[in-house]
Amino acid sequence: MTALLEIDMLTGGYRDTNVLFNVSARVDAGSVLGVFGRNGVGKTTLARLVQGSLIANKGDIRLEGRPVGALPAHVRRERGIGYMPQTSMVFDDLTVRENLNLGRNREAPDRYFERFPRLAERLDQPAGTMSGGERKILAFARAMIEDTRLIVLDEPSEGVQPENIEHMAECLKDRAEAGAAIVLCEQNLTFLTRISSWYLGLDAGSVVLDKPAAEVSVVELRSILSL
Amino acid sequence: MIPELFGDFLAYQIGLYLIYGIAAQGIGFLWGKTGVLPLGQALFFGIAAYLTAITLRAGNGLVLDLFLAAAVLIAISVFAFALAALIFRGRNESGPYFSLITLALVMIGEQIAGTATDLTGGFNGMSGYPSLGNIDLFDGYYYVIVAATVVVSLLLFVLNRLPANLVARAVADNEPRLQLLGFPTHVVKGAAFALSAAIAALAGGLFASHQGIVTPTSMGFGLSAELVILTAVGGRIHVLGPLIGAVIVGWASAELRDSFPYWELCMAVAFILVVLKAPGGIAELLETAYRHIWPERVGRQPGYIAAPPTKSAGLTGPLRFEDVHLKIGVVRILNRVSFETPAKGIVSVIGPNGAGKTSTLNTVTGNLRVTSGKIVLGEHAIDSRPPYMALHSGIGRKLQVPSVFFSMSVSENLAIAMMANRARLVDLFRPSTCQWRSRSLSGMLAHSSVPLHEGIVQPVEHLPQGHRQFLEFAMTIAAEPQVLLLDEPCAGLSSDETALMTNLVREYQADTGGLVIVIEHDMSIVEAISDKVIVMHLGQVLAFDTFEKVRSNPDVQAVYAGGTK
Repeated sequence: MTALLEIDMLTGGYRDTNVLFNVSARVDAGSVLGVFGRNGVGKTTLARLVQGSLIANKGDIRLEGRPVGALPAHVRRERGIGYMPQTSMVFDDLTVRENLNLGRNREAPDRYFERFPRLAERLDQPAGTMSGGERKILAFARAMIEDTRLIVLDEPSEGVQPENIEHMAECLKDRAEAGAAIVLCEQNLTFLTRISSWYLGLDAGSVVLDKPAAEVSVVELRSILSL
Repeated sequence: MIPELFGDFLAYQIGLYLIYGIAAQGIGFLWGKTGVLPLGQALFFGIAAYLTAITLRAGNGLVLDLFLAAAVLIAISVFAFALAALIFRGRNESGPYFSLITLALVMIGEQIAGTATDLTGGFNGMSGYPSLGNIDLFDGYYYVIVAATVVVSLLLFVLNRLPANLVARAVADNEPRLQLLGFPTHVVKGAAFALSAAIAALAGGLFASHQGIVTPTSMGFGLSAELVILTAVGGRIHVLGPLIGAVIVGWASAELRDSFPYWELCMAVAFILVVLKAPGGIAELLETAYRHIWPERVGRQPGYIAAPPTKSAGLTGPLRFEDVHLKIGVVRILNRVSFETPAKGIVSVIGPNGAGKTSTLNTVTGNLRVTSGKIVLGEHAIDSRPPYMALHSGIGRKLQVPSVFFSMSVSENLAIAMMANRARLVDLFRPSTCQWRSRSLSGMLAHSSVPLHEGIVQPVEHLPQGHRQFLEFAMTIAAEPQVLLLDEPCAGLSSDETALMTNLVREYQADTGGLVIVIEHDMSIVEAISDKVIVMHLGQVLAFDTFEKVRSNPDVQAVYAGGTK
């Protein structure tokens, strides 16, 4: 069966400096790939290579069997790849409502207001006047409602209070159950272990663990984060 | 040797291009370093040109002429400094407004020059005065211009190697961070604008003597725009870029003007191509080609020398909020916030997203002005101080999203941080200042697991977020503040890195005996490090007590459960 996302021997980084080396992975529809590793091992680079703001120097990226590795980011978005970056994730001068209504969405944001009521309270407030954690939640909600089949998230839990991280996990599970594939780059093990169906551990730009979640213990995860 | 080899007329032409090149070098310095784009440099060029014409017409003799020229340069510098410092005061970005104001000023200047006939000769301008020292314009004067070009270029080359250059670049890179390191950025930009204005004025003075006529176009928007184009084409980063641009564009224009009817179109296309394909201009292309043949050798890192003590230990004592309110537009951010921390120890601030935690710290550092109420550190009210005064008050700040100088290397970032609250004006012009190292910073970097490698010369923009957290923490403690404000220092860190960061925080507090205030969501960290905990909710203080008491507080439990990574 063709995976929704296939990454094949991917090597890339910033200009001539490679950060990732021969990374391969696959994510099926309805599953969550937890990408983890210490700071600097290449998680953000992998996310950006899949999303398209970086182009790989070697290797292939395929979405439902079709190569997308050479396509610019906006075309990949049209093909169904959504992305929540680590920083600079909302438009500060636009209101929360305007941020949520931008682009092509698959659903109205209302159903996320129950889990994140602060968004509903601040709909007409410029996003720039919200706290860092609230902006992160806004960006997360945006990523959830977009008309995408693959969602790549780069450290979504950073700066977010634990209750809201729990809500994020529930939302991601719902999206996966509805058929989306998720690539979650995270350091927060509680979050990661809560929803991942497969783990991809990275160190120094290379894969050091590639296993189904059921076969990996927390001790093993911690040992990779301590490499 | 141009006059001897190619004749006096070419020397005369090259002299004019160099004069424009000098003025453009001033623009390159200001624009390339601080990111401030001046659109009205012809104002200073023209004022100096008119004053030079008036002086030369008076026939005072060379000595008095040179004395008056120096006075003009100083007066223009002071005016430019005051103008920029006033416009930039209270802001932390350079925006387009300054460029537009300089544009408006040069248009006013051109209008005055064209209408004040008694003073400037009106549209016909001023002419019929002798050259400076009666030097032959087609021979000896070329060498005067070359000498001025060499002096200005050397001055800028030397400045490039001084700590002041790092500070100027830091303005363009991350002005809010530079302010939190105690640098009054409006003064830095004012000084840079003053130097660029003085350079433009020097060129204007040379121009008046060289051309023997000064008209309103010497003070017009057209010339201002042309100088910016010369700078962009030649390259605003390299010292010689604007000179290269002026000579190449000047020479090409002169050659094409008579032989090719569409020469202006040709120049416009060349300009667009250079701006699009080589943002660093011709100089960058030449430098890249040069480095391709002769790669730059990475010199040995110079050793470190003990940094002088901080200028002032800053204020100490408890931090007290007295009924503080904060509104931004119609949004109420803080509401009746009152608390008093201990004078020393670690205080954690917890609460749901949007509770007002970061805004509370923003009011302490002056990044947000309180709507009402008072913030007192020790015995001193600090709520009306601008951000650059925070460090002078002893307050260091690490921001929520790591804020560093992204275009600079780790060692350059740390060098600027070491100057914070230590460097006097004279230190900014001593190369050894970049070798300063404090005990606290050395202590932190001595931890083998701190992921900061000073030997790497690449800019830190590609550092992972977690490593930037450590870099910004290092930059914050380098100035040894008595009050350290840390906004989620462990966000994006792995559990091992989190343990390292909490150890560093504890070590710093123990070393300085000061006050550390930490915003944190991870309850295991809060429990491990806090002497006291402030719980915030909806812009108010919900509880302020020890960790155990806060944890068992039913009001707190109702709104915030917390968790661990």
